[in-house]
Amino acid sequence: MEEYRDLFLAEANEYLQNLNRCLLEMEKEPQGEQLTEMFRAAHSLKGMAGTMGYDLISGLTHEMESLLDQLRSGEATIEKEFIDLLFDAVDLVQLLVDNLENQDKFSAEVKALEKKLQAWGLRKELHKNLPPLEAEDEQEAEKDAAGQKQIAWEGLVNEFEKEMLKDAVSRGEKIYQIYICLRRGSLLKSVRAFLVLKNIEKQGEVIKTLPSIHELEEEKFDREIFLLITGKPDVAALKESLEKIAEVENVGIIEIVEQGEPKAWEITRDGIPGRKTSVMHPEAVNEQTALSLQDGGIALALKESDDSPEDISQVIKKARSLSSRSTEKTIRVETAKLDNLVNLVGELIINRTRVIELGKKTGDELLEGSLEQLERITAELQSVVMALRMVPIKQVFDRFPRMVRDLSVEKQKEIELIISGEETELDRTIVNQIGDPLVHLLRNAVDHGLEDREERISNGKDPVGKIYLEARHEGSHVVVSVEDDGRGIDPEAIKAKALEKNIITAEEMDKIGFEESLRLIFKNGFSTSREVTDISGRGVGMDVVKTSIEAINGTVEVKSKPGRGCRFMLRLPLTLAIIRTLMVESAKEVYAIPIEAVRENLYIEPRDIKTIQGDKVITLREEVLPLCCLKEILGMGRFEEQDIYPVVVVQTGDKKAGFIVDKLLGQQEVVIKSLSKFVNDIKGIAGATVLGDGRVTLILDVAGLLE
Amino acid sequence: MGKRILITDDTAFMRMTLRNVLEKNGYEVVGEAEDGLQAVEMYSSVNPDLVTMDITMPKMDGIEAIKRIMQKDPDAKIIVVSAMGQKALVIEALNSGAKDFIVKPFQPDRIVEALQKVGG
Repeated sequence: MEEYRDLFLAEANEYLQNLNRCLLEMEKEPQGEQLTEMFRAAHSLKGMAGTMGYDLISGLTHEMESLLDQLRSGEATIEKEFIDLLFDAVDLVQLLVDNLENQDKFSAEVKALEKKLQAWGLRKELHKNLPPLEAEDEQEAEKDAAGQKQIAWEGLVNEFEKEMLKDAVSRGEKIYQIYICLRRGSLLKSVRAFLVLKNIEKQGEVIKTLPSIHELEEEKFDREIFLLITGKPDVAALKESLEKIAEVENVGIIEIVEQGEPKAWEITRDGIPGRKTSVMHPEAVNEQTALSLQDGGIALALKESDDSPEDISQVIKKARSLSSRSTEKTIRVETAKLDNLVNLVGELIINRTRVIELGKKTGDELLEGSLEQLERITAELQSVVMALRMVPIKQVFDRFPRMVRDLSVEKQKEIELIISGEETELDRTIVNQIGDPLVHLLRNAVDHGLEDREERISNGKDPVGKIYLEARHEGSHVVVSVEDDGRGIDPEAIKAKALEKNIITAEEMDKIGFEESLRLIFKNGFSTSREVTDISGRGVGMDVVKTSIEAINGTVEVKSKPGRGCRFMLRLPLTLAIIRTLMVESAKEVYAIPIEAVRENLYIEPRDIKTIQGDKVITLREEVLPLCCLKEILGMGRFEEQDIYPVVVVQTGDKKAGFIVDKLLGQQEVVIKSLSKFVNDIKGIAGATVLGDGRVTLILDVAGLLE
Repeated sequence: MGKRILITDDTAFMRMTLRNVLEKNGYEVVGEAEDGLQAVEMYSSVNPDLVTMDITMPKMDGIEAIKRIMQKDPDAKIIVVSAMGQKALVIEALNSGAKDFIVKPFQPDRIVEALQKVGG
């Protein structure tokens, strides 16, 4: 059983993340798909937990599952308390999953929550605003090709579209549903759909389409299109013009009749259990469908519905298969195996280089030819293996919406988290290591960055604070930024704090510019939090963020506009396993300097070297750089007088320096081998690599050396 | 009396295929243009009821030809005959005034149906 546990954990966490995500979405806008997905997740969790003998988890997920199932068939309502209850349930399952060894200590909580879930399920309140499953409509479409069936638009239209409908009605326009069925095997369907839209738009305004416009463009549909339009079209002429389009097999236009002022769209539909409240007005009876006023809202009723409970269960089955279709074809591989593979490929590449060097010495053309082939194949192999290690940053980002939601409740600030670029891929090791720094930055943004509601309003800002979390490619880097539209960082407050903490002196305080003062927050022992709160101010400051990002060869920058917000940018390498380096020779040893840290190479003469307070410096384009001899700082030798010195200018963050070396050897890609534990913590050495000729070379850690 | 059609395609094979299909179905092919420029010139001289229009052609492409023909005759009935994977171009052609489109390789009954729908 033990061997399955890791797999269980991995999968369970994935399902829990899905549940969290769906709940968050549902909180914003309830959709049938979320219910289906949550149902599936709860169901799968139950099954897995049952197999593993985790009875508490399976019991709790069972209650969630049955409640979700009820909800899907319209026997419960989606209310705020309900979503909160599900959040609690998800949290408890997470707690159990995190504490597999001693789940029993939570049994009382589990029992209590199970009762609550059951109680909720029993509350057969009048249901409202329950959106139907979208797939339901798709499947209906297959059953009935006549185009005379009514889509449950009211569950699909959003606020904006509702407004458009209202406006149209108030202008005296009518609402129509248009059904289009294309011929089987029709090609270039997206353009066909475009032609349909183009034709319709001559006579009315398209409010919504099913499938969505985007799906139509991507050809993610079969043959049928439903459109909700407003206008005053000549229905017969419109129908004819649509039928005239090649490959259009069937056209159906239904007027959606409404009475009274539309306020909310509510569905009442015959034949669906628990939704038998179809209200038919005499005027509407002759129509296929009626949209009628009910308690100030519009109800849509279908006169001749052939929906029966059996159909619904069919639909759910199909909906389930639809949503599982999107599951990507993947297999799970233990990360240890993957790491091993990367190591082996690394070894292979080192050996390849060596073999090729030896081969060149023989001068055998045939041998050289096949070595070239070998070089190509191994290079390709290397890139494939590297791609295997890449994972979307989504894995980290996924937990943030929930975290920010909870923080916003706790801090009583309204916050919107806007995430973009979550599909950006990074090396797995990097993704694993940016989680904590990002948590810290987001917490800071919520706690210190964003003002509370009253302050925002009095400053003329949107009461809802925004945090933008973004990932994007920039050259050979990925840039992750956390930006908020809060109060920004006050440079004066920072300087004062730095002075108080003895990070800067009073003289320095006056000299420090705006940019530089912002960087003070990264200094060790700095924290601007006025009070220690539950969220931030835990004694770990920005210096920890900086150190952990630099440990993965990344950099951190901060920008701030007082009163407008601030932005932290993490610049991260794509991969850690193989890096480009500048090879230099010093004291007869070869060292590799990561190319990220190298600004430029130059040769200087003894007269270029100046001395300030006993330290060597050079002036480079009016900038004074400290100069040090690599041999000396590594303790490998002493500075020797020469006619000319090769210098490597390095930089990390805002620190710059020139290293005097003996020889510049050129750039090379190297595979990083970590040093064994005994020599792991040597300042200035990031790791080692093996060169083509078999020599071991140390990779320098520039940040460490500059300290 | 069948409808009079002008075929535009830069490959002789496609022109022949279209001619065969159309003539079998009672259309009268009144001209074959090898590129957009020819199509524009022939449109004026033969004044057809319908035009089939390839998109990628030498000298002048189908889109430009459609624009010019539509300028001369806003009621011109032009059907785009395009290869697969030319989504953006087909949309441009439709925006330029083409009435409909069919995708190569086509089935004979499809093109006839399309022409009937457009030409009445």
